[in-house]
Amino acid sequence: MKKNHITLTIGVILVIIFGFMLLTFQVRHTEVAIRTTFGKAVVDNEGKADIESGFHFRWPWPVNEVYKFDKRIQSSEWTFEQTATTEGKPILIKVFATWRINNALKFFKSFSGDLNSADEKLKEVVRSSQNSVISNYTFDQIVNTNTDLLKLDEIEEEMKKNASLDTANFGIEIKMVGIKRLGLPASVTSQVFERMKSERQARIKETEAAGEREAKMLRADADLKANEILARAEAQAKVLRGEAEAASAKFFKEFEKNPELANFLFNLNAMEGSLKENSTLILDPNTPPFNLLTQPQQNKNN
Amino acid sequence: MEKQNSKKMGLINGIVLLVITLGALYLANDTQSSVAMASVVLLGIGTLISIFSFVQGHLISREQDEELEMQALDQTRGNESLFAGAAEDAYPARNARRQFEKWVVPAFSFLILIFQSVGLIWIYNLLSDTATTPLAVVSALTIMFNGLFIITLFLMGKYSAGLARMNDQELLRPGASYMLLGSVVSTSVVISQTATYFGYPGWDRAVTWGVFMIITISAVENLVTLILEIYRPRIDGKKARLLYDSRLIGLLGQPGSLISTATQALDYQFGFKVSETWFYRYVEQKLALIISIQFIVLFFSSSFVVINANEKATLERFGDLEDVLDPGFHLKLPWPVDKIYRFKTDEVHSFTLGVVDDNYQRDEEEKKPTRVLLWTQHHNHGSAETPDKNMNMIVASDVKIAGTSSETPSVNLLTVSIPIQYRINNLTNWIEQTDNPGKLMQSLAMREVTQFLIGADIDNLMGPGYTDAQNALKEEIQSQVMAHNLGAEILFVGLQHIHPPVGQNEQSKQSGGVAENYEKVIVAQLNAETNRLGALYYSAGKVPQAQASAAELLAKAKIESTNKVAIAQAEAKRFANQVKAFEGARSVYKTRMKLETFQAATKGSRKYILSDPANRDVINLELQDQLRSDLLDVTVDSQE
Repeated sequence: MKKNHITLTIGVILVIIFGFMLLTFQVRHTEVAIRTTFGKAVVDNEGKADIESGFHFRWPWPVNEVYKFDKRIQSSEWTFEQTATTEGKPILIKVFATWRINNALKFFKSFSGDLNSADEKLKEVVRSSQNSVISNYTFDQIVNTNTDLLKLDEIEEEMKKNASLDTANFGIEIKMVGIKRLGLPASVTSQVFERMKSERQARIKETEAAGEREAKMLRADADLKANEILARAEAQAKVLRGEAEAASAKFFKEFEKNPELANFLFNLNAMEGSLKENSTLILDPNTPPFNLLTQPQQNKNN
Repeated sequence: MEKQNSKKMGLINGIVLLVITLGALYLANDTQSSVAMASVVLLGIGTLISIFSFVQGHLISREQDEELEMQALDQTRGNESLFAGAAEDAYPARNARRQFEKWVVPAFSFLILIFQSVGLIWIYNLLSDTATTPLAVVSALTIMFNGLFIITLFLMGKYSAGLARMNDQELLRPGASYMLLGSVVSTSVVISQTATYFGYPGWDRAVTWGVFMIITISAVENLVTLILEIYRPRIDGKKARLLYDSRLIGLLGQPGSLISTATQALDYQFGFKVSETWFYRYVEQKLALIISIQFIVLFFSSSFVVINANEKATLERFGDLEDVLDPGFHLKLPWPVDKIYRFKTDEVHSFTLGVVDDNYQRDEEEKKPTRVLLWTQHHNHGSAETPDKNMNMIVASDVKIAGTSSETPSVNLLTVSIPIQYRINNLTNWIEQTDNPGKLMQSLAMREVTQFLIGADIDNLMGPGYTDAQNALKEEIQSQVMAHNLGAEILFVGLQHIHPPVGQNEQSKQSGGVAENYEKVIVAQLNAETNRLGALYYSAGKVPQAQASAAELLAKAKIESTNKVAIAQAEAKRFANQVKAFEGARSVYKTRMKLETFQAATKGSRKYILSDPANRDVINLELQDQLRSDLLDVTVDSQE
């Protein structure tokens, strides 16, 4: 009997727990919910069906059904897609959008409450908006070293505006459309590679030429300085020699006292100077003092 | 009569299992619940076994009828030796049953093994491919139907198991075991689906692993039984156990038998009847109460919370955010009133924008030394075939290159890899603002990097502007994170792997890739520097050498000047004295001077004296060398 009592108690507790679970539901602070009665959404006086976070009562299925949705900002991004600028230049662009549910009932009706389905529909809308907006801008307004000419913020704002118009009745609010990445198609990328290489090769030439120019200038400057120094030295040497000539000239007056002897001595000096270092002399036997070699024979002949 | 009932029961079991399997398959497909799909595999095998055992039972029934007919025939004909011990051909039903058990039963067991293996592979794929497996979508109706399956399977399984305990009704046992196990698995399906319904989808996978293990063990048991069957001694009269009757399935389907088996094992081990002691009986009597108390204790233990040092937690009461709990001990109302969600707020989280070098990661996994990463070699930069990995970012360029096509945009490409580290600094914002703040932060960061790079100068970025770029990006990303109230603090933004793309194509065979050309610029700069240093070396030597030469020249000039003046002075003085000598003896002095000078001047000279110019006789005064013949041809005029 006692055992049955315990079993009964446990059974009652379990029934209470399951009953409680069937008759109540919780909505988290990150969620919004709607409740339907026999399939019809329960709305308030303002026509809104959103049930905010907290503890709520319900009738069990099939009377009431509760659908919960994440009310936080959702982030969606799609594939890297090729589009064209206003001048027809191809560009790859990847956009992302942030959005949130602002009307749970509309969201439920539009997408059966499926976030993935909403993401798919949003993708179509944003892609269309992206292509139409980009085609109104030039490449230079998207990529430019002069940041004042860039229109990326404007493009993003236009894309958001267009997408918001197209999703006005979806029960969602688009918070932001951002350009996540920009790229170029493979064929253009290849050309850009060539362009980058050309730019580098030009820089290589410029660098090498600049190096050569600087080296030559340094060498020429050194040569110039060296020549100037040597020229100045030679000029100074000539001056010195001239001064020496001038200084020694006053002593030459002494020679004028006896020009005959002076000339004789100069000749001797000149001869002595010219006969130095391995000279070969072919002399007549009458040349003194070698005439001594032939005099006895002459005497004999006489 | 009982046998007829059993035969009918076998057929009903097969049909019921088939209907429930199809129903479960429909619900599993509808809910995308992996545990429901796993239960379909188990129920499907049970259906096959149940139908097969019915067929086998039918054959046995025919054999028994045949035997009765033969016995009746024997009694009618008396003991005529002609019919005594009839030949084997006289028992077609028995032969059919024997052939069936010899060939078809092992083949069927093998077929079941194949089904189990295929089922396991299918379940494993479901469990491992989490990316493509959608989360289960469960409704109360689904749970209710599964509850109906539990009751049906349990009642019919229990009844069949009771029948199977009767003599010669063991053919009902395999089907009954599968029905009872089916009710257990359906219970787990209901539990996991209920958890999913209340927002705990993780249970689905966890319970599926449990069913996966049951089928795996059953398949192993089946395989072992098949192998052992080959070596089993065949003894006449000894009844063989059904090959496809799994002991394990029977044990799992009827856990009560497990308890009785355990009790018997305890009795055997201790040597006395443990099951008859007061303690055992007391525990047996109060088991329900003990388990209930444990559940109550477990329920209230959910009121105690310990938050670890590196964590913070949000406390939700009936779904509303009540509080953010710091590390330490906390009390809360029991589940499901209060719920706790933990977050590692102090932990440094990170993600990488751009190239993620998987070669590097592979090296890490293989514990090999990390190879050298070069600009000129691909390290997972992506290609035309893998555009997702192709992280060449656009950088604007204002350099116009002559000869390039007007269609080619004036841009550069840059390969980047930017690791970003962050920490949660406002937990409320972190969980309340977006469903996936980490993903949104990545998108925002990538947006900032893209916008930053399109206006940046590539040379400045890779050179002196590196640190400024790093700081600017950090500031921009932080401001975006704050603008979106993500509740995170950016700790670090790194610019690693920021370099020109490898950029190799068909045209690169001669001119080299883009990165290679960037390196060539560095080589050119080095060459120019080398050239400049060579010129400096030349310059450094040239001027001092010139200065030295100039000094030498000047010194020489000074010496010559000094000498010239001194010599002139000395010669003047000597001349004054020589004049006196000359005046004294003019002719002698001149001759003496002339001859002395001649002697001194020609001391080292070779001298040839023509003795007679007409005869060409030559007197050579130094005979060590031969006379050159050409000198004989010289004509010299005689001198005074």
